[in-house]
Amino acid sequence: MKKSNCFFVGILFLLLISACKGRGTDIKKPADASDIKALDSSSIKKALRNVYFMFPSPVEILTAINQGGLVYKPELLNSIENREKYVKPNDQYLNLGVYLADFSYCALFARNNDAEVYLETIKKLSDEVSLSTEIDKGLIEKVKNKVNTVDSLVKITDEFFFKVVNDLEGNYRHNDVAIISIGAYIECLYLSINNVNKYSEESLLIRKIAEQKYAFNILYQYCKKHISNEDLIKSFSYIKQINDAFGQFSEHKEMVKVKKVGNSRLLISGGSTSVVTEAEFKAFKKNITKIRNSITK
Amino acid sequence: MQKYKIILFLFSLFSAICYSQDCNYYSSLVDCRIIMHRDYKIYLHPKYTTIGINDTLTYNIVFNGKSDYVITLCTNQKFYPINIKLLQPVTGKELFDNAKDGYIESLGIGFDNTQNIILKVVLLAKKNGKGKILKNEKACVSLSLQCKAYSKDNE
Repeated sequence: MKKSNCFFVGILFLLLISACKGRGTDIKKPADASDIKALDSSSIKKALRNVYFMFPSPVEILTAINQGGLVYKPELLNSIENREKYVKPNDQYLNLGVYLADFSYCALFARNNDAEVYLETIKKLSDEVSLSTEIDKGLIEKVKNKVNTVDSLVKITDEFFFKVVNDLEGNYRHNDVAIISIGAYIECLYLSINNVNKYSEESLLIRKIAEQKYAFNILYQYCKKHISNEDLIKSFSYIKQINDAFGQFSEHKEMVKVKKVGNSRLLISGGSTSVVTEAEFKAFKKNITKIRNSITK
Repeated sequence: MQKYKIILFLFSLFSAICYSQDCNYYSSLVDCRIIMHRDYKIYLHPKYTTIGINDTLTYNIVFNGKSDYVITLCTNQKFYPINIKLLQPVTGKELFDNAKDGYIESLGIGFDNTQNIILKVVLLAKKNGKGKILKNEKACVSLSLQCKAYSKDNE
């Protein structure tokens, strides 16, 4: 066969191979030898195959809590100088999440300069964990160039987070998604909880923080489904501790009522709302601060 | 020989494009394009999943209080109608079933309080004349959510 024909057959073969590409998130990689059985049984994972846990992005979490009135406190952010301290992959992923939340916090308050500095840090850290290849470089440029209005910055920050999640999931890196999200969620909670200067039973901010139990629970279930590596147990224990801590709050339960309005609109009222006592709040704040500081130290 | 090469090349390219079609690109198809509602913005991220007829997809979603949402589901024409159910996670109590509403595919919901809701989706594929469905054929399903600050208008 001529050389050119061999080349042609080769190209055809590659094209056909590409046609066999799978569906990303639905197909699971075979279990690694180091996988542990303790986190979850395979039967539960099988049952969860068609279950999708849709957890909000850090900027969506902070936007929801901001209804209670957050204030920009740059001293709470994780210093960008800490980045070099994170050498182990687990610490790098957790703190990548922390910096993503810090970036979202800056974006929410239109702190353009700070946002850009945190984006640079995210870029450097994501390079170290080989994430950059998964992130569209055009998007990073867009973030850098469009830090002018709050809405566009928040939107881009949101898209950025989901782009990272999508790309990682598409490459079967659910473990990494879980760890990054754990870091991001803990930082969101840390930033919010340290905005509460004085406890008050009527505080809308405390209520909004307490409402995040749902988002944390969804992330917790996502982690239960996807974390299967022994090295990640520590990170998993963080989200478990926080999920349990949310569970300590008392609940005021009302029957859920559904009212139909017009042809295609529903109004859903009732449900359970958390009631946080001063002692519970103080213990929660102490716990979150301790966990967050152990991640960023 | 050159002509055959070109034909073969085009055929391979076509099959590669057709069969490697990632579900994530489904939104670019005309019938599944996300139409933004006025004053709403995208919530979470659109989810694209592949399932077969009568398989159940379950989404666990948190909806913030004092917010309005639009939930939209979309799939290939042949696989309609889509059955959508909203359930309470702990009790499993059914809050809504679109079978009682002519299988609407887009639903607006206002939430007074933050809630965790289970969304169950099944492709029924009962519309005749929309094309033959092969045995074990699967379809892409897209779920998109939009939200805005709560308004009690139209109440």
